[in-house]
Amino acid sequence: MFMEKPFTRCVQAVSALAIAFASLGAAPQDGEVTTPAAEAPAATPLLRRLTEAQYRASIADIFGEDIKVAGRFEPDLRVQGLLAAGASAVSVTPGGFEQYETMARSIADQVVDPAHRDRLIGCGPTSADPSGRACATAFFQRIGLRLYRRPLGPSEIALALANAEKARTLLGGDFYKGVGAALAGMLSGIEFIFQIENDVADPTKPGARTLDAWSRASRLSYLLWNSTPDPELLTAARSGALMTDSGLAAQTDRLMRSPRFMNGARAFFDDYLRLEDLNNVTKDGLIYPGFRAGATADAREQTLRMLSDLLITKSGDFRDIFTSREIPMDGMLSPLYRLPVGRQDWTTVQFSDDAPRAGILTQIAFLAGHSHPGRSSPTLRGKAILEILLCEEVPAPPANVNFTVVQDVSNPQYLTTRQRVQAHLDDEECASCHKRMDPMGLALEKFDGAGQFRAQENGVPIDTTGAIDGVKFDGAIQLGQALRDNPKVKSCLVETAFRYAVGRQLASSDDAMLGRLNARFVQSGYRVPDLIRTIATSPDYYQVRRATAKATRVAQAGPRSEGHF
Amino acid sequence: MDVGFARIGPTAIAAVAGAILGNGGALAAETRSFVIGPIYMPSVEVDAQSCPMKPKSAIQAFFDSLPPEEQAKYSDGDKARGLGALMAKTYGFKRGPADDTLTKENIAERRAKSGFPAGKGAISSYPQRHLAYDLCTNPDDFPQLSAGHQDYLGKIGYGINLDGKVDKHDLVGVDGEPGVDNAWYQAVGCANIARSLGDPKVGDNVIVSRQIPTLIEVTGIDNDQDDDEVTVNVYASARALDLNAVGKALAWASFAPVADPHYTASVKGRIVKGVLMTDSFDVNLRMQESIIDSSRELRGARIQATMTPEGIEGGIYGYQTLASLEDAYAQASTIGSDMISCPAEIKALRAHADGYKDPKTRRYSAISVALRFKAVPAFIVHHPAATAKVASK
Repeated sequence: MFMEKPFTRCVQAVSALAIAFASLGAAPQDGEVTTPAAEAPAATPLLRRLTEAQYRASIADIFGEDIKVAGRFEPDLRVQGLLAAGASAVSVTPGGFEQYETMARSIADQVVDPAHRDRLIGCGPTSADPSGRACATAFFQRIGLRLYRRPLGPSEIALALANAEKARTLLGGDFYKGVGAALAGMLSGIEFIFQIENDVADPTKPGARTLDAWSRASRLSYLLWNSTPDPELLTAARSGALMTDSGLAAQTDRLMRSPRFMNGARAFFDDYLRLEDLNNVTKDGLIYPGFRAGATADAREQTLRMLSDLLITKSGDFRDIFTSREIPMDGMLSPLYRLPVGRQDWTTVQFSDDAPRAGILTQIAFLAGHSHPGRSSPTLRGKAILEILLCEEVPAPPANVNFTVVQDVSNPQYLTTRQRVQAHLDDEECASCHKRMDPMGLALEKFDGAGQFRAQENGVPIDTTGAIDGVKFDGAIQLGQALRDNPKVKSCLVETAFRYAVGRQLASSDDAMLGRLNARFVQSGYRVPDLIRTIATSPDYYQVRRATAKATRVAQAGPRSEGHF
Repeated sequence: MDVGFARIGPTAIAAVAGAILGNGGALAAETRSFVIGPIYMPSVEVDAQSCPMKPKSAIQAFFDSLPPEEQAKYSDGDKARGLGALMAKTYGFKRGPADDTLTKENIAERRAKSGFPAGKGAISSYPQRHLAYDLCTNPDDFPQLSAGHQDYLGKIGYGINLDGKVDKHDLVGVDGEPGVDNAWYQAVGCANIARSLGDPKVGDNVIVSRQIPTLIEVTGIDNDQDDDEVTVNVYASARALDLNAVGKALAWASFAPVADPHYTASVKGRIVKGVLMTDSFDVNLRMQESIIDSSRELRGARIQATMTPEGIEGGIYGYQTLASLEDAYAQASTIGSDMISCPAEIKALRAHADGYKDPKTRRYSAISVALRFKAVPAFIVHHPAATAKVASK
C-alpha cells in the first residue's frame, strides 16, 4: 500500500526514541514525578518485564476488551522457579522488540480507527485548533498516565506531540493516523513493556530509600490484579496516599475486595506451581489415548480453580491444598479421573473418603506435568515436590549417567518403576540425590504418566511406601498428609510468595521480613489472602535495598529438568 | 448449603465401582456402561460362487439403457459426470432448496407448493434438509434402474439363529452355527459398499453415528463372568461421542441419555463365560451420520457380546423394519448412485424380508440383520441433579 512505508518508518522512528529514553534507566524526572533526594545515592531501579498475561490485561484495562492483542511474546524466564523473579532478569531481544512493535502498531491502529476513536480519543481537530494539538495533548496526558503508570513529563508530552505531528504530515495530514503512530511508539517503549520502579528517600526512615508512590501503585496493582493500576489507584499515588500506611492499607483492601483480585491470585498460583510449563507437556497418544489435545490446558485450569476456590473464595487453610477432596472437573478431564460428570463444562465434584486422590499432588496437572510423554517419573515428581513445595535445591545429574535401565519399560527383569529406579540407584553417585527425591515420587506411582489411576504395573502390585523427614507414608493420600503437616512447606510458600511479590531473588536482608511473614501466616491460620495483604501493606515490601543475592536454597531451575528421568 | 457440587446419580457411582473391581470374581451388584463407536453390518469374504456378478449401480444401469450412440457420448471420465444430470433429467428427478423447517408433518404441504408429483418426494440430505424426488426417495417409480442386481449366494454369514429354525435358506454362521438369519446380507451382500464397509478390518475402525451414539447399560451384575440375570438398557445419547487422542471412541466419558422413550429399551439378559446374552426385545438405534438422520428399528433383537475391562464387543441381531431401512436410503437421495442402485437394493430387501408379517398386506415388514459393534466403557448419568460423592479409582 502507498501509505505503508512512510507509516512504518514513522513508527520505527518513534519507537527508537522510546528506547533511547528508556535506556537511560529511569524516566525523565520532570513535572510531577518525585525526584530522589540528593544526599542518598539511588539504587539501580528494578525493571520487570510485563508477562504476556500482564501485557494483555493492561491493554484490555486501558483500551477495552475489544482491542485485540495479536502477536507472539518473548518467552518468559523462570528464575529460582518463578517467572516473576525472571521478569527482572530478562531484556528484549531485537526479534522480540519487533514483535512488541508489531503488536503496538496493531493496538494503536485499533485505538484510532473509526470504530474506537470516539470512545478512546474523544476529540479531534476543530476550527479553533485545526491541527488537533489540544486534543492530542489531552489524549497523551490521559493515556500516558495509564501506559507508563505515572504522569508523563513535559518533555515526554512534547515528544509524543512532535511524533504525532511528524507522522500526520507523512501520512497525508490524517490527525488520527498521526496520533496512532505516536501511540504505537509509546506502546513499544520500555516504559510500557517494563515496570520501572523508582525510589525516593524514605520519609519514615532517615537514610533509607523506598519506592515512590507511582511505583508502589504498579507493584500493588500487578501483585493484586496482575494488571495496570486503575484510575483510583493512580489518584491515590498522585495524592501521596500510597506513601502512608493507612493509604496503602486502604488501597490494598480495595483491590483485594474486587473480583479482579482473583486474577492476581491465579497468576501467583500459576507461577508458584509452575503451571505454565504444562504448555510444553505432550503425551504419547498410543500410550495414553485418553489424554486429548486440550487436556493440559484444562488440567492447569483445574488446579487454578481448585486453589482459587479453596484459598481465595473460601479463604481456606493453605495446608488443605494437599488433602482437599473437592475438585473442579470438566468433560475433558473426567475420563482421565474415571469420574462421571453431569455436564461437560466446569463443576465441582468430591472424592469419596476411600478414593486414592486428594489434593494437588493427585491432580492431572501435577501428575502428568511431572512425567514423561510415555511413562511416569517418580524422580521428576519427587524433584518437583522438593523444589516447588519444599524450596530445596536439586542439583543437575552428572553428565555421564546411563539412564537405560530406567527408560526400558519392557525389561521383564524390572516390572515396576520402583524396581527400575532401584536398579539405577545401584550407581552410588546417583543414589545420594535420589534417596531424597524418589520416595515421594514413588508414593505417586499408582498414577501413570497421564495421571490415571492404576492399581498394578505390568501385573505387579505397586509399592508406594516411603518417608520424608522421618515421617512414613504409603501412597498419595498419606504423602499429602505428610506435606500438609511439614513446616517447610508453609515457609516455602511464604518465601515463594514474597519472591513473587518483589520479583527478584532473596537477599539476606529479607530474612527479618520473612520471619514476620511466617509468624503472621501461622497466626492467620495459613490464609493466603492474609499473607498477600501482609506483604502488600508492609513498608518493607517497598523498601529499596542494594541487591545482594542471598545464598540460594533453591536450584536455578529451568522450565523442565531434562537431566532427570 | 449448596456448594455447587456435581450431582451424580447412584447408577454412575455403581459404574465407577464396577470399573474399579470389574474383571472377574464375585462382586456386589454393579453396573457397567458403554458407548458404541463402530456399528455396522459385517460381511464375509466373497468368491465367484457367492457373488457371480457385480451388482450394477444405478448410473451403470442407466448407462446400459442408453442407445449405443448416446453411450458413446459418456464413455470417458469427464463426460461420464454428466450421466447423473442426464439421468435426473430423463426421469424427472426433483430437488427443492435447503429448508431446515421441513418436517414429516408439513411435507405434504411443501410438496404441493413446490410442484412435486402428488404424494411423492421425501426429506433428504441432513442437516440442510431438501425435499427430493428421485430413485432413492421413490424407488418404485424407477424399475428401469433395478437391472443387474445380484443376491449373495454364499452360505456363510454373520448373525444368529433368530427364528429358532434351521432351513435351507439360512446361512451358516462364521463360527459354524447353523440356521443363521441374515436376509439383509443375502439381499445386498454383494454390493461394493456392503463388502468394503462391512469388512471387520474396516468396520471395526469406523465410528458411526458419532453425533448421537448408542449407550448400553448393564445393571445388576453379580459376577461378570457368569450371571443368570442382568438387565440391559439401551439409550440414545444426548450428546456426541468424544474421540480420544488417536481418533477412536474415548473411554470413560460421561453421557446423559435422551428422554425420548422411542430410543430407550430395556431387556433381561444373562452372562455366560463373559458373554452377555439378552432376551428378545424391540429397540430403535439412532443413526445420525453424514447426510442421514434416521434410526435402525430392530424388532425381536438380541445382544450377544463379550464384556472385557476395555469394553464390550459383539453383535446386535434382529429384524430391522423395512421402513427404517428405506428411510435411510431415501435420505441419501442420489448420493452413491454410482455405487449402488436404490431401486434394486430396496426391491431385493423387500423380496428377502423374513420377519414381522403385516397382517393387512400379508407381506413381511422387517428383514433379519446382524450388526457388529464395539463399545468402550462410559458413564451414563441419569440424574445430574442428584447429590452424591464419587470415587475416583
